[in-house]
Amino acid sequence: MNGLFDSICVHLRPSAANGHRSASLGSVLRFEWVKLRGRRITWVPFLMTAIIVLLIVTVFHHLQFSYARKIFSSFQLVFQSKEQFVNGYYMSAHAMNPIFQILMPIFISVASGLMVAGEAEHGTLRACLVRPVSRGRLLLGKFIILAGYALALSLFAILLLLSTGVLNFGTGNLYSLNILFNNGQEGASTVPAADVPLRFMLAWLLATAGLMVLSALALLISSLVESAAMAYVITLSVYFSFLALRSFPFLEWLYPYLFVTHMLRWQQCISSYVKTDEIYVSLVHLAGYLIAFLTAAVLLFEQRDVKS
Amino acid sequence: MKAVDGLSFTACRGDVFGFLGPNGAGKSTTIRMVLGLIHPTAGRVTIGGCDVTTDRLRALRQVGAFVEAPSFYPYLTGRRNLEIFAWLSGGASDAEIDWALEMTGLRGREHEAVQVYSHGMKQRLGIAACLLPRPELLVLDEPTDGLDPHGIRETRELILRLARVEGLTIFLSSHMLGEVENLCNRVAILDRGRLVLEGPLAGLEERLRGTEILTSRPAEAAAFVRDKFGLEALPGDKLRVVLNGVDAAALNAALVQAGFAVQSLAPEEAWLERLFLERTRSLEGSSPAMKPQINTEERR
Repeated sequence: MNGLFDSICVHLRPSAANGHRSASLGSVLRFEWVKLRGRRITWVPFLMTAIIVLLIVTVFHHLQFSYARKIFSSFQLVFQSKEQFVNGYYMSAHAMNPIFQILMPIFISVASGLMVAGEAEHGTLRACLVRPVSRGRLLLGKFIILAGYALALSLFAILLLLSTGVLNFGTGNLYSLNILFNNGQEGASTVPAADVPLRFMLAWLLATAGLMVLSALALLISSLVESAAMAYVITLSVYFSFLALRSFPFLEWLYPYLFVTHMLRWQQCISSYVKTDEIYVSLVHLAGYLIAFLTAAVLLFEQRDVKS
Repeated sequence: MKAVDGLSFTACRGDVFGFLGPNGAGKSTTIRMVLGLIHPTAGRVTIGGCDVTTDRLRALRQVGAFVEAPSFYPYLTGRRNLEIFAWLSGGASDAEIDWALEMTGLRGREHEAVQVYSHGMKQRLGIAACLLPRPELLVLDEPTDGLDPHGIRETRELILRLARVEGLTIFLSSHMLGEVENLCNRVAILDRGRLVLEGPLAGLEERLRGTEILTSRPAEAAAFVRDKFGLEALPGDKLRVVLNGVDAAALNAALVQAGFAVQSLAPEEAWLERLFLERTRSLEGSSPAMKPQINTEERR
C-alpha cells in the first residue's frame, strides 16, 4: 500500500480532548458477547453436535462390530459379543475423533471468519474502529470470546457424548485400537474403567487447548482477508493440509513441527500408552503457537488498512 | 497511483465543513485517513490537536462518525445497537440514548430489529450512533445517500439542528452541491486526490459567484462589460460575470445607457455547481450539455 495515500495534512479543531473514554477490555468483551449470543448461527454448532451425537448413538445401537471384534482378537483381545467391549466410554472415545478433529475445527473457523473478516465485509468493523477502542484490545476481546465459545462447544460435546454414551451403553473398561488414536504404537489398548473419567477429562482439556490454537490461527487469517468465506476456507485448508501431511510416513521427521500434531495429542489419553513428557512438550508447543498466532494477528490487525 | 496527494485543510470549531468531490475523487479515502482506518504514507491528521496516527484513541474520543454507509448488526434492535457501539466509546446512559433517538426521530421504533428498518431509518440510526456519547465532531460520509426527498430534508434539518442547537462541528462529505450550499459554512473540493478549492463558503461566494445578466444581445453585452468594467464573461450559454466589487446597480445603469435592454440582473443560481464542474474532472468526458460553454453565435 506504500505510496497509495500520500501527503495529507488535515486539522479538525472541535475543542481540546474531552471526557470521552476509550473502551476497556471488559466493554469489548461485553460487546463481542452480545453480538455472538444474538447471532443465530452461533447456536447452530450446538444443534449440529447434538444431532451428530444422536446419530452416533443410533449407529452404535445397530452395528454388530464384528470387524472390530476380529481386529481386537488379532491383538489377543477376544470378545464374544459387542456388549463386552462396546460401552459408553468406547462410543465417546470413538466419536471424539470426528467431532474434535473435523467438526469442531469447522465450527471454530466459521465463527472466527465471521468475527473479523465477516465484520469487515459487512462494514461493522469500520463502525467499531472509528470509535476510541484499541485495535489490539478489540482483537484480544474477539479471541477471548472465540476461545470461550470453543471451550463451551467442546464441553457441550464431551458431556453430551459421555452422558448419552453411558446412559445407552453403560460403563466399563475402555478398549481402543491404537491406529485410530495416532499414538505411535501398534496394537490395542485397555484403560481400566476407574481411570476412564480422568482420561476423558485430560483428553478434553488437551483437545480444547488445541482448539484455542486453531482459534488464534483462524483469527489471524480472518484479520488478513476481506470476506468471511475466504477466511474460513483458508483456515480449513491450512488445517486439513497439515492434517494430511501426517498421513505420509516419509514426512515423519516433520510431525513434531506441525501444530496439528500437538493439537491431536489428546488422543494419547484414550490409550494405555500415555507419555507424559510428550504431553508436556505438546502443551509447550501449543502455548507457543497460540502466542505466536495471536501476536501476529494483533500486529497485522494494528497495521491493517480498513478499506471495506 | 496515489489516492490522495498534497491534501491540506482545516476545519474549526462550529464549522459545518462540506467536503465535495466527484465519485472516486478520494473523499472516502480521506475520511478513512481522518478516522485512522487507513494509514497515510506521509503527513498528519489532527483532531482537537491529537495526531490520529500516533494518538488515535485520544483523537477519536471526540468524534462520532460513519463512513460510506452506517453499518449495524441486523439481528439486534436499534437501541441495542446504539448501546453496544456506545460501549466502545466508554458507554452511554439510557438518557443519552433516549436523547439520540429523539434527535433522530427514531423513538418508538428503537425496539425493532435493524433488519426491518428502511434505508432512511438506518441512516438516521447511523447519525444516532455517532451522537453517543456526545461527540464534539461529527464526520458524516454522504449522509443523505440513497434517501428519498423526505429523508434528505429530514437529514438536512437534523444536521442543521446538531450544528446550530447542539453546537457540534460537522465534517460532511457529499457530492450533492445543493446540500453543501444549504448546510455548510466552509467547503473543500477534492479532485483526483488533490484539493482544488478550499475556503469559507461566504468568501468563495463573494469572490466567485457570478451575476446573471438577462439581456437581448448577450454576446455584445459581454464585450461591453469586458471593455467597460474589465469583467470576463463566464463560460456557459448565458451571460454571467463575477462582479469583483463592481456595483450591480452601476453595471445595470451602464448597460441600459449603452442601449442594452436589461431584463434582469440576478445572482447566479447554481454557482457552486459551476465551480465544481469547472474544477473537477467531471468536466472531462461529460456530455456537451454538461460542459460549461458560451454560446458563441449569440455573442457574435
